[in-house]
Amino acid sequence: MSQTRNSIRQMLRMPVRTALFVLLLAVAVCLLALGVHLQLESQEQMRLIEESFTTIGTVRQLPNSMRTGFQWSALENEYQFTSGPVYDAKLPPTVLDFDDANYIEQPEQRPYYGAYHPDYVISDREYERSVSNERGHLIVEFTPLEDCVPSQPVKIKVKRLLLGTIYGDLTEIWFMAEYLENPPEMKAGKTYVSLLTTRGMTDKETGERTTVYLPGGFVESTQVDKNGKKIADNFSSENLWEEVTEGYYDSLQGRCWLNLIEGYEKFENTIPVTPTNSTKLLMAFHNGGATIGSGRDISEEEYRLGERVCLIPRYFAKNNSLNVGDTLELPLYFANYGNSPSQNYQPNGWGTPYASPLNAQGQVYPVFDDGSYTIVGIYDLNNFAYEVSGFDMGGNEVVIPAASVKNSDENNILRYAPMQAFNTSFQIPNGSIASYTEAWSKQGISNVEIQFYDRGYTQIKSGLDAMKNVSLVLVLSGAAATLLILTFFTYLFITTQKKRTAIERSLGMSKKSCLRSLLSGVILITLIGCLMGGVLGYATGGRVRELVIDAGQDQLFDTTFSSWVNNADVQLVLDTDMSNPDPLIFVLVALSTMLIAVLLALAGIRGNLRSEPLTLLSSRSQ
Amino acid sequence: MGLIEVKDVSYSYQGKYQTIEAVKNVTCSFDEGAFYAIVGHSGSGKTTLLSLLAGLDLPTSGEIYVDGSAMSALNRDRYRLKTASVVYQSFNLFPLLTALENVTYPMQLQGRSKAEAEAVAKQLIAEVGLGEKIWRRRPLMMSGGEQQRVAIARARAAGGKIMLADEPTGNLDAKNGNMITNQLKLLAHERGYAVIVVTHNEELAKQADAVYMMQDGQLTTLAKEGQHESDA
Ligand SMILES: Nc1ncnc2c1ncn2[C@@H]1O[C@H](COP(=O)(O)OP(=O)(O)O)[C@@H](O)[C@H]1O
Ligand SMILES: [Mg+2]
Repeated sequence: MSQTRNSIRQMLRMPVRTALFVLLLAVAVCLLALGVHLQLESQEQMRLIEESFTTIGTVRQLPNSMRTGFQWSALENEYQFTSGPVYDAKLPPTVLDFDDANYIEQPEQRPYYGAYHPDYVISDREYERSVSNERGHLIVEFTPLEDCVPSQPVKIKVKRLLLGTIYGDLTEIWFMAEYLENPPEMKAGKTYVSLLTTRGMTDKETGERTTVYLPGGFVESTQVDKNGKKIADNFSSENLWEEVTEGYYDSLQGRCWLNLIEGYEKFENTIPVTPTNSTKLLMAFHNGGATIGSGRDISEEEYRLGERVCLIPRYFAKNNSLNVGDTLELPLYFANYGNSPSQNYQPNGWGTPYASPLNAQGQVYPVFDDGSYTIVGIYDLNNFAYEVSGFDMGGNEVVIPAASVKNSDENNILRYAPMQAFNTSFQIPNGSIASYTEAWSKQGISNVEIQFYDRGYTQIKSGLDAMKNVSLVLVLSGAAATLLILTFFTYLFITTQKKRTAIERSLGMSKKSCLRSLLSGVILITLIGCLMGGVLGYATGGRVRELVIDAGQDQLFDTTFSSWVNNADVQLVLDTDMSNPDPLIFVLVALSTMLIAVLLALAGIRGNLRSEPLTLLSSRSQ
Repeated sequence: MGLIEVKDVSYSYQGKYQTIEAVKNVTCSFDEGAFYAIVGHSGSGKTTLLSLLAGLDLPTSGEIYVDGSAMSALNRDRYRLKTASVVYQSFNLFPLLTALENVTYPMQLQGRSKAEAEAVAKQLIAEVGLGEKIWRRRPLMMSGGEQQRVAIARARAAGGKIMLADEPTGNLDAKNGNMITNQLKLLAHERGYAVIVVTHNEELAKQADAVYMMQDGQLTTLAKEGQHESDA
C-alpha cells in the first residue's frame, strides 16, 4: 500500500511529464480505438451490404434497323406514321455464355405464361362495379341502317352481342372503318360480324361527345415457333368484318369466330405467370418495387428442384381469399415472349396480351402444363410507374420456379420478341461489373445492350473502401503512436528510475516489491490515459464515422436506383448502427494498450532489477 | 565472536569474456559498538566486500555469519530491511521525495503507521543536526552535507544495528566530511552500531577503532599502534 502511495507520489512530483504522458496516451488510444472501431464498422457494413445487395444485368437485343410506314386513319382523315424495330436474327441468351463470364445466376430470357381457371377472381368486384366502362373486347353481329361505305362514321344496329358489354342503346351506334382508306361497301339488311374497339369522338361543330366503334381485329393466329417464326395457318383473314350468312358458323372462318370469342373470354380471366430461376432476377424485386410481405421467398433449393411453389401478389390473394400455404391451380396455356406482364396487365388485373388467342389451328391454345402450386409468399407492391417500362410486376402476376414447368411451351407461343431488358437478366457478383464489361466487350457483339443495376453498390463500396482506408491509417498511426509513447515513457518512468529501484533494493525491498512499486504507478497513469482515450474515442466515434460517410454521401447514394425504398433501408442500417458505436471495442483497445504498457514496463523494470544496486549507487555519476 | 564474521570469502564477477576476482579469501570480523574503516586503492574490491556485507549478493565461496546465522540461509531482503543499512558516497536519496518522506520510507516498508514513522523521522533528522525546515525539502534543494545527514537518518530509520557506508565523505568538503565522520563514530560508540566505512579519507581512518586495508581483493589489518599514537 505504502509503496503504491510512494510510487504515485513520485509520479505526481513529475506533473508535466505525467500529464503529458496521460494526454498523449489518451490521444493515441483514442485514434487507435477510433481506427479499430471504424475498421470493424466498415467490415460489418460491407458484410451487410454484400448480403443485401445484388448486381443484376439486363439484356436487350438492339434492332438492326427500324421499319417505317404509313397507315390510314379515318378518324384523323390522314395517313399516320408507324414504325417498329427490325431484327435480322434473334439472338438467344446463350450469346452471353462466354469465357470469363462469372454468373451467380445464368442469363435467362423469361416468357410469361397465361394461366386460366374459371375460379380466378381477376379484379376487385367492388371496383369493377364502380366503373361503368366497357371492358376488353367486343364481338358483335350488326347491320348498317342503310347501305354505306364506312369511311365516315355510319350508323349500325347491333343484332347480337357475342362478347363483351355495351352500355346504352344497341339499336343505333356509330361505326367507322378506322384503318381502311377505301373500305368495302356494307349493305343494309346484311349481317356482319366484327371485333370492335371503342373510341371517344368529339363532333367538330356541336362539340358533342360520342362513342364510335371501330373494327379492331382479324380472325387470325399470331402463333410462332420457338425461334419466333410465324406458323402458317389456313384461316387468317385480312377482313375487318365478315358477312354472316346461313350456316356461316359451321365454316372454318365461322368456327374461328366462335373460338375467338372463347379465347378472348379466357384472356380476360387470365393471370400472368412468370417462370424464373431467381426472384432476384426480376427487376421489380431487385429494385424494391416489390417485396415479400407475408411468407417467404422461393428458396434456392425450390428453384433448383422445380418445386411447385409460387409467390402471388397481395391484390390477387385478397380477391381470392388466398393465404400462404394455400394452393393455386395454374393451368398454363400460352407463352408470351414479347411483353412483360406489366405491359399487358394493369394493376387492377385487367388486360390481355397484344396477340390473338387462336393458335395456328384456329383453336384456343390448349393447356400445356398444369399443376397445383403452394403459395409460399405474398408480395406487396411498393411503387408503380417505374421509369424503364416493363420492370414492374404486372397485375395478378404470379412467380414460379422455371423448372417447375415440366412441359415445353414451344407449341403455345403467341408472341415472340428478341431479348428485352424486362425479360432477360442475369446476376453477377457484386463489384464485378467492370471486369464483366471488359470481358463482354471482347466478344465483339455490338447489337446486344447490357445494363447493370447494383442499387448503388459500387458507389457505396467505394465509400466504404474510403472509410476502411481512413480507419486503417488511423489504426496504424494510432498503434505506432501508442507504441512510441509507451516506449518513450517506459524509458522516462522506468529506465531512468534505475537508481530509485537500486535505492529501494538497498533499503531491503524485495525485487517483487520494487516491481510492484514501479508498476503500480505506471499502471495507474496508463489506466487513466487509456480510459480517457477510450472515452474520447467512444464519444467521437459516431461523429467521426458520420463525417467519413457524409464526405462520400452525395456520390454514395446519388444514383437512379439508390433512392428506392430498399436503399433507404440500407442507409437506415448504416445510420442506426452509427449512432451507437460498440463500447466494447473501446474497452478492448484500452485494455490491450494497458496490457502492452504493462509488458513494456515489466521489461523495463526487469532491466532495472538486473543491474547491481551497489555498483549503481556507488558510482560517482549523479 | 563478532556480530559479523567473514570466513574465507571470495567473490568474482562473471563477465562475458573474463572473470574478475574482486574479493579473495577474506576473513575478518566486526563487532557492535565499534567503528571500522576499510581503505585501499580504487578497484581493490572495497565496494564489492561492502555489498557482500549488505547481503546484496552471496560470496562465490566462503560464508558470512551475522549474529551467528549464515547469510546464505537468511532472507537477505529482510536482512537489509531490518538489520543492515547502507550510506553511499552520492547520498542516494529518492530525488522526488522530501527529506521527511525519505526518512519515513524504510519505516513504512516495515509497516509502521505514517504518524509514528513521521515522529521517529523527525527525531532522527534532529539527531543528525538538521532543523525543521529541511523536512519538506527535496534532495535537489539540499547541500551535500545535508543530503548525507538525511541519508544517515534514513539508514537509522530501519532500526538495525549494522551501518555500512561506501565513501560517505567522498563528495563532501572537509568540514562536512568531519561532521559525517563524527556522527558515524557516535553511532558506533554511543548507540552500539557496528559501523563499517569504506573510505579514502585519512581523517576518518584515523578516527576508526580498526582499519582494514584492501589490496587486490585481499584484506589485511593495519597496525593499531599508529592509531593509539594518534589518539594519544
Ligand atoms: N559489476 C561488476 N562487474 C564486473 N566487474 C566489476 C563489477 N564491479 C566491480 N568490478 C571489478 O571488481 C573489482 C573491484 O571493484 P570494486 O569493489 O568496485 O573496487 P573499489 O570499490 O575498491 O574501487 C574491480 O576490478 C572492478 O573493475
Ligand atoms: Mg568503490
